[in-house]
Amino acid sequence: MSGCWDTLLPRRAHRSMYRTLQSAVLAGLLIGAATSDAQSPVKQVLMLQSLDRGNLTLDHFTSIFRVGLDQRAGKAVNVVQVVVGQMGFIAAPQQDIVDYIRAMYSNRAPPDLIMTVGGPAAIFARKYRQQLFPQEPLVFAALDQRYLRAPLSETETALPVINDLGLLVDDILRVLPDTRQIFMVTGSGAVGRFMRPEHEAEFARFRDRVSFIWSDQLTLPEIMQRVANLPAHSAIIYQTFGSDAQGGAYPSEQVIDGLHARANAPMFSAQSPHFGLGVVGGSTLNIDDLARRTADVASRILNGEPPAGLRMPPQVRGAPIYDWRELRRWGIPESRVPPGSIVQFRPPGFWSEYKGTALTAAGALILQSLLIALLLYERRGRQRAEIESKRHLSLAADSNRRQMISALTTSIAHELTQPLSAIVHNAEALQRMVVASQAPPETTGEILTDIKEEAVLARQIIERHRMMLRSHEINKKPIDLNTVIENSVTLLAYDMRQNKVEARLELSSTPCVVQGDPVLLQQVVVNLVRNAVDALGEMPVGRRGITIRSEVGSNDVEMSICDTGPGFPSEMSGALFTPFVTTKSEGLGIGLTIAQGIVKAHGGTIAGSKNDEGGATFTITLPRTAAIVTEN
Amino acid sequence: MRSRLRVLIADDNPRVVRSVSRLLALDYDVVGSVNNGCGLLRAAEELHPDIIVLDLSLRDGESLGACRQVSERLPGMKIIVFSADDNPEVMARAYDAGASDFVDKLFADALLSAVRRLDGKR
Repeated sequence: MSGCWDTLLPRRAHRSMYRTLQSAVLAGLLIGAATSDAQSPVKQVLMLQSLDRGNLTLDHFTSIFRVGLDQRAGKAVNVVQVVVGQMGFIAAPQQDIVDYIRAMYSNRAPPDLIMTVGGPAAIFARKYRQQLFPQEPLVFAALDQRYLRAPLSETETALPVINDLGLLVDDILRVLPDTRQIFMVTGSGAVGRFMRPEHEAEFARFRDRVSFIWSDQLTLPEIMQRVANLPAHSAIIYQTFGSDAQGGAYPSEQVIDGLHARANAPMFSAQSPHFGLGVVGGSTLNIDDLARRTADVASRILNGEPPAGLRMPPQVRGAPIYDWRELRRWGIPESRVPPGSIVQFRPPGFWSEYKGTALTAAGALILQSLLIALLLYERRGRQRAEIESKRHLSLAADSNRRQMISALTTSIAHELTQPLSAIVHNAEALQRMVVASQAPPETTGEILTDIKEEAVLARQIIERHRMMLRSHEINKKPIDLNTVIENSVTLLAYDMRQNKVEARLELSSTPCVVQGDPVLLQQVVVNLVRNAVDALGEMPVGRRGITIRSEVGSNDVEMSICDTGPGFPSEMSGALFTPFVTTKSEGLGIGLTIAQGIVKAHGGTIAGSKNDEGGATFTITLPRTAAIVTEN
Repeated sequence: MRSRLRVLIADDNPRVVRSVSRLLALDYDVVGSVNNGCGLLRAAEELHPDIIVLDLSLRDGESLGACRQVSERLPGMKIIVFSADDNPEVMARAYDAGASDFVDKLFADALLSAVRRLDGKR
């Protein structure tokens, strides 16, 4: 898979390498020594790395493996890593490395498991297997299966991959069918050298369609220059790098970044850690999955399972995966990616980018809507209640007025009797004059005028009472409360006369203009006056007086109805306006309740109090209106 | 030749007084009118009417009291109680108070008939 470091180390570097290696693994050895001396149950793993850190794929593999091993082992595991490739030993001879490793374990128990990471380390381990713990389990990990042509022993197992770059070329031609050249970036190290013939064999089937340009003889700057000037219909395959033709080692990310920045052709790779760094995509080897599977095998061996029983089939490539940004960059339509491909790094749509915000906003909106709906519902309910209340008030007021008018029937009859009587007598007189031919025109005219006027009066009386009998919805307009008082007293005049009650009006000379309903306010006055008349029935004749006053304030109009009756019991003071509370032997006791409802509906107040000198006074205060009353 | 019958009208509604006066004046002398019960006796004593047409619902509420006073003080004077209320109890109280007749205020014929009856008895 990665860079190969199986060249021999120069002799002159032998001793310095030895010291370097000794220092590098000191910490691991100390841990190992301490645990071994105490015969600790801590398992020891010797990990032989092909490359020092910097190879993105192997670094990624090691990181995921280490975490996975700890998760699966269920016990403490020490992993001692030794880089057996040339980058880690300044091209030291491999035998020196073997000797060093043997020296590490000379006074200690051998490792519980030996692992190789990458092809070069696998070759190293196989080559020196007899010197390096031949009885201990050995796992060959993260390598192309072509590194494992020799059969595995009973103490060995492997988790290889099939890294067929021909499949990657298929991917390239699928999305870029006009591709004529593919520039291969494989580095100049052991892996590149090892794998080139393998890959060339894989590419043989494209011989008539695509030419492959190899860069293993170029330095990195030369490579960068080449990729910036590739001919049309070119593509780049990044496989690995490690070091260039000069032996300069470069970390994968630096190389990939440079290629991505400079290349004039799209770049492809078959290894998942490269995805997202600037490669277009295609079918990739999932290194994460490989590392986890390897950790699983390693943990099982550490737990006593024989390696021969844990042989795994080579890992193949997974589903194609593409970088949306690179597809866009190189003008590759998404329609060309194979069905079932995963396209990542697509700019999030509104929904995916603002999902949280949108959901929060939607939630808030819904909550707010619900709140508004609730408030509207409550408001509607309140309005309904108000309408109902008004309706109930209207119904109660209607009922109360009818009851009141019914009680005033005698009064009404008497009132009507006057104009009717005048009419019939005038008519009789005129008829007799006419019959006797004693009807001078002037007299006739006078009589007829009188008759008409009496008829008008009668109609007014009827209308006044009919108005009180009619169902009535509140209808406010500017009115003079003094007129309401006078009409009320007129209505009750006969009643008061019959009850020998003297009414005195002390009305404001200034019109008491309020925004009111004349019928309902008259009902209030009539209710209060009739209550007073009833109360005065207990008083001797001559001491039955009602005084009705009106006053105009700056903002209010006040009207009071004061009687000289016995007043109301003290215990009723707080319940004067409570329904069905009455001192009368007859009546429901809803007159004052209705009066209060009407006054409240006019934005006013009503209060009752006992007079110091006896009797009761009811005071009504209503908001004053500046409008001039023009009606009668 | 018999003198024309003298009639005094006691009613607090001037329009009623005027209409009744018009009707009776065709055959009788309407000597005056009074608008309250308290003043009836004095008016009767001063005007010497033969008949008093008395509204039962005078404003001061003294119709029946005045009726009683006049009938007691001036027994020859006939009183016709004039009312729209034909309740038998009310009629009975009127007769008890000395009324000679009780007529419905809304029937002109009734008043004329009553006056004629009393005139015939003179």
